[in-house]
Formats: sequence, C-alpha cells, structure tokens
Amino acid sequence: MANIEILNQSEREEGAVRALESNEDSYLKFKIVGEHEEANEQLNITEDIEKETLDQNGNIDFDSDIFEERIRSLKEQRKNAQDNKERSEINKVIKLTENVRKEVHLFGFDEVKQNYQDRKNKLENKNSFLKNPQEVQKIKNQKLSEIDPTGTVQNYANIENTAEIIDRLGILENLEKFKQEQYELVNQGKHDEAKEKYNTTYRSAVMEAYKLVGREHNKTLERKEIIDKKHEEMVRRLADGRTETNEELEERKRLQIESKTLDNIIKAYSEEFVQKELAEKHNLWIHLERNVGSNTQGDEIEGREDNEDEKRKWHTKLADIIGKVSKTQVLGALSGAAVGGAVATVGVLTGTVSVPITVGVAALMIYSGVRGKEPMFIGTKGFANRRISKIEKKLENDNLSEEEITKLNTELQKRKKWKEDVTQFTKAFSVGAGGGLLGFTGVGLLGASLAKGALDTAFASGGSASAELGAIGAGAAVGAGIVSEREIRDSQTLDLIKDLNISQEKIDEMRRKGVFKDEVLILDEKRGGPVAKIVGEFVGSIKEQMKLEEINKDLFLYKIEEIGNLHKQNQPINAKNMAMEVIEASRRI
Amino acid sequence: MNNLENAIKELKDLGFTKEQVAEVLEIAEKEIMDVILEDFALNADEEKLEEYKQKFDNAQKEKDAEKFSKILHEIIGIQYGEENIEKKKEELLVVYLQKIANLTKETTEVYKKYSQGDPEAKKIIEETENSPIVQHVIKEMEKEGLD
Repeated sequence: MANIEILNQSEREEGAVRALESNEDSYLKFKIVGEHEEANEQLNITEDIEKETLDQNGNIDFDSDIFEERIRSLKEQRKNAQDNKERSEINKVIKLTENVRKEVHLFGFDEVKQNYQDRKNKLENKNSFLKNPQEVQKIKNQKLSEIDPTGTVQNYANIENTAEIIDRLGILENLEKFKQEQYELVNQGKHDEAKEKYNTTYRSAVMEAYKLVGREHNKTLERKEIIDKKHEEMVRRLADGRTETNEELEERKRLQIESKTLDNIIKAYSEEFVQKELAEKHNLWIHLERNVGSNTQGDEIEGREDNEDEKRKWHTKLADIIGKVSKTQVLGALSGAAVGGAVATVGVLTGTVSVPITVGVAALMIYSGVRGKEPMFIGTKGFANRRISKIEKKLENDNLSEEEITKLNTELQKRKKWKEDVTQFTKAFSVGAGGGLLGFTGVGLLGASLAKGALDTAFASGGSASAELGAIGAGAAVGAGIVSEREIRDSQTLDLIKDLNISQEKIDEMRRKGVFKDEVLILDEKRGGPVAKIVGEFVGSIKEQMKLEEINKDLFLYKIEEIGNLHKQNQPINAKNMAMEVIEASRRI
Repeated sequence: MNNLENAIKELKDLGFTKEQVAEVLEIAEKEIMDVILEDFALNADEEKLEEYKQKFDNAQKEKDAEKFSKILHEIIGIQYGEENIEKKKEELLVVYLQKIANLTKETTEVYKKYSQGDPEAKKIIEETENSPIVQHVIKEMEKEGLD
C-alpha cells in the first residue's frame, strides 16, 4: 500500500498545484467582480488543498522497487480498463509514476524531497499572495487596463468600483461571440440551427446579463438609499439647530460625494449596457436582413417560395425583437428631449386628419414602424437616426474580425457621444435664445429667410405670415421645446445662485455633478412644471424673510437638490417648510 | 414654385394651418440639426470633431446663440461644401416636410380603412391602441392639452 500512498500523494501534489492555479483564477475573478463570499469560498478550497498536501509531508517512503511494482500494476489495470476515459486516466497516473521514478533515480530521495518542499513553498506563496489585498488590487488594475485600455468605461461613469463593469463586459463579450456564431450559421444556410440557438443560448445569455446587472443594480440602489437617509438625517439635525462638529461636517460631505458616485454607477448600469445591447441587436438585424434568403454568394436558394415564407417568418420573429428595441427608443424619445416635438407632431397630424386621438396615434404608430417595420419614430428622431454612416457601413462587412467589429463599435459609440454632447449645447439655444439657429422659423439670427419666404408664398392669402412667424418664434422661446425651458429655468436658478455670490467654480462643479440638470430640471418636463414652481416658492419664501447674502449657501443648494430628489421619489414637498429650515439654520450658523 | 414652397403647399393642401406648418418647421429645425450633427459626428475627422467640440463648448459658456448658429453653418459648409449651405438646408427641410406629408397621408389612409370597417386595419388598430407606447403618447398629449 505504501507505493500507492506515495503515488496518490504525488497525484495530489501535482493536482494541488494545478487546482490551486485554477483556483487562484477563480478567486481573483470573484474578487474582481466584487463577489467576496464566493471568493472566500474559493480561498477555503485553496487552504484545504494546501492542508491536505502538507499533511502528507513526512510520510513519504520512497523506495525504487515500489515504482516498478506500481507501474506493472497500473498497466494491468489499463489492460482491463472498461473504456477510453478510464484508460486515459490510468495513462496519466503511469506517466506521473514514471516521472517520479525518473526523478528519484536521477536525483535521489533527498533531491525529490527538496522539490516537494519547493512546491510546498510555492503553495504557501500563492496563498500569501491571495491573502494580500494590495496584490489582488494590482492584478485587478492590470486586468482593467487590458479590458479598458483607454479608460473610457471608467471615465464614462466615473466609477470608483469598476468591478461591476468588468463583469458586464465579460458577458457582453459572450454575446459578441454568440453574434459571430449566428452570422456563421446563417452564412452556411443553417437557419433552423441559428433560430434554435437564438431562442435558447442568446436569450439565456441576455437573461443572465440582465439578472447580474439587476442584482448589482439593486445592491447599488439599496446602498444609495442608506447613504441618502444618513445624509438627510445629518442635514435635518443641522436644520433643527444642532451644531455640527468638524468630523460630522466631513462625514456629511463624504456621504454627499458617495451618493453622487452611486448615482453615476446607477446611470452607468442602465446606459452603457443598454447601448451595447442595442448595437448588438442592430448589427444582427442588418446581417440577417441581408443574408436570410440568399446564400453567402448572394445567389437565390433553391425552393424560393418556401424560402420566402421562411424569410417572412424569420423576419416577423426578428421584428418582434427589433420591435423591443424601437419601443425602447420610442419610450426614450418620449420621455426625453423629443417629447415636446413628438407630441406636437402627433397633435398636428391627428388634428389635421380629424381622427379620434387614440385611433389616430395607433394608426400613426402602425405606419411609423413600431409594428414590424424598420424602427422609426413618429416624425421625430427617426429622421436622423436612420442615416447610415461610414462606420455603420463598414460594420456591415461580413469579413470583419471580432476585434475590428469591437473597434468600430467603440468608435461609433464615441462619435455618438460627441453628437449627444453637442446636441445638448445646441438644442438648449435653438429655441431658448430666440429660435431658429438654422433660420427655418424666420426668427433665427442667421439666414432667416429660408422657410419664412416659402411659408409666405404657400400661404400667400393668409396675410401677415412673417409677423405671425415672429410671434411664434418668440413664443417658441418658452413654449415649443422643453430643452429651452430647462435652459431658461436653469438660467434663473443660476442667476439666483450668482446673487448668492456662489463662485463660478462651485457652479461649474455642481453642473458637472448634475445638480441643476439631473436633480432639478430634467425632472421637470413642462414649463412651469411642479419642480420649477416649488423651487420658485422655496426661493420666494426665503427672500421674504431674509437677505440673500445671509443664507447659508450649502444648505440652500442642498435643499435645491432635495427638492429634485423628493420629486423623483414622488414624495410630498413643502417648499415653505424647507425655506424655513434654511432660514432658521442660516440664522443659527 | 420651388421645392420648399411645394412641400409646404402639400401640407397646406392636406389641411395643415399656417400655425401647424410653423410648428412642423420648428420641429424640423431640431431634426435637421440632429442630422447635420450626426453626419458630422460620424464622418468628420477626429481632429475636426475635437475642434468643433471646443467651439460649441465656448459658445455654450458664453451663452452666445449667434456663435452656435455660425458654428452650425460652418459644419454644413465643411460637410457639404461652402457653396451648398443654403441648398443643403433646403434639401433636408424638403425631405423632412415630405416625410411628414407622407406620414399624414398614410395615417389618414389607415384611419379610412379602419372607419370603413376593414377587418385587418380594425384588428391592428385595436391591438395597437392597447399598447403601453400608445397609452404613453396619449398621456403625454393630454398633458400637453391636446385632444
């Protein structure tokens, strides 16, 4: 039995190193994605392996003869093996035994024992490494820089804990692989297989991703709730007249910063993930649209009629999927900057055709492609979004490698981000500053005659078109676009803040943090909407009782944020009480 | 009558009032700005993008609408040629107005079928009426005071 003990131990030892190496990866992986419990479990397994290995130390009884005996016995076992798997396992053990025998013959028992000791040390070092958080952090950073060399993801969300992002990227990589697989299957004409995989693998991968993101997202939301409550409590105590110590002040600031960071994480969870999802689906759609119904050379496939039917069915299925995308876009557009325009267009159209509103909208939706056609929006957004860029055209090329596709997608996202940023600038001014940056409405500051002239001509019998247009343009400054309304309210808030002698740096900082745009103004979609009114009442109440320069600026700004937060949570807001809190606290401070 | 006048006339013939056309123009401007910016974002060199991001940024800081307008026209010039600025603007506007006209005609058509009892149109409309998207749009329209 002694020989078997030795060999089993060797196996264990070799296995332990291998297992530990694999185990280390698992441990790091779990640590990196923030799954600390799972990571610790992996560490326990590591310790078990180590312990088991070390327990064997000292019981080694090397004897050259036993190797021969063991090898003979193993060969006998191999002869009687039931199947290939068993034979293969026995082969591994024979090889291991032969290696040990060779080592003993070449180096002697002492040398082999030393080798064992070295490996034992290696195990210990590994464990020590695993237990060292700095080392783990180092590896984590290395992995991060591999995945996100430009730091785009990190910068994008300004996330301190980027572990979640890595995990999501991992899943998205899988989706990317899946997409390639789908392309290949379709190219080979294996439509059934492609469909089957789409319905199973892809969906489960997406579900997995959603589940993970959802779980992490919930954790972040919970954390934010706790932080916000703590912060709120500290401010309330301050408002109640309690003097704040320096430590408490620091803590309050820290909580506020953490809350903002968590906001960014929450934002990143939804936006980045959704963007990639949409891009992925979009590319799949383009490819299948072109390839289903033809083979890779573009020739017609035999049995055209059946294939047409198949194509139609497949398109219907895809339309459902794309429909979800377009619905997301539609809902996004409705709740975002396009809402004013979209509703106005629907209003114009339904008004013009004199149909009941629900039927009118339904009809409009049908013809605007929500059902089964190319995603397009009701007269807004789709106009720009359906344009094909050079990059998108490149992406349609079947011969692109995975790396090239990823690179192009990254570039596309970067350029779309550029457009998004710039659009925010321009739209804020397109109407807010008097309308017509391009000069279509007749009140623009440059080239004002283009549409005005045409409108005058087309409505020649209508008389004073230009005067009316002037009025419309002026009215548009406050009436036609919610972006401009935001800008106007933003300006009012800024004026007030300037009255308070708050520095430009502080204003810029708050803008960056989204205090004005995100917390207060974006929530308020209509001119004179609830948040604007509440802020007005809040400021008015303060002004009634106190000079602006006497107000505690931090408290004032905090309350502005709080109004936004309460509104977001649909909580009742008592502006006068809030004003009183600021007044009283300002007097005490 | 030029293309733009024709496109506006078409809307007028469909029953759009002058105010409604003006409203469409208002929306069109935003949409076309989107197109121009998107074209530029997707096709311009990175250096140009950076340069214009900076220009927009400065105009934003200075709250200068005239500068914004000038930058936008510069962008049109870069993309479509200096001499084509007005032509391109008009072209985009005409396409947009035609789309609105087509959308209106199609909507009218599907409603006509619906009111004549066309079973397919009826079924699709009734199904769509209950969709959350339509409900959302209706809600938004009600908030806007449209009926």
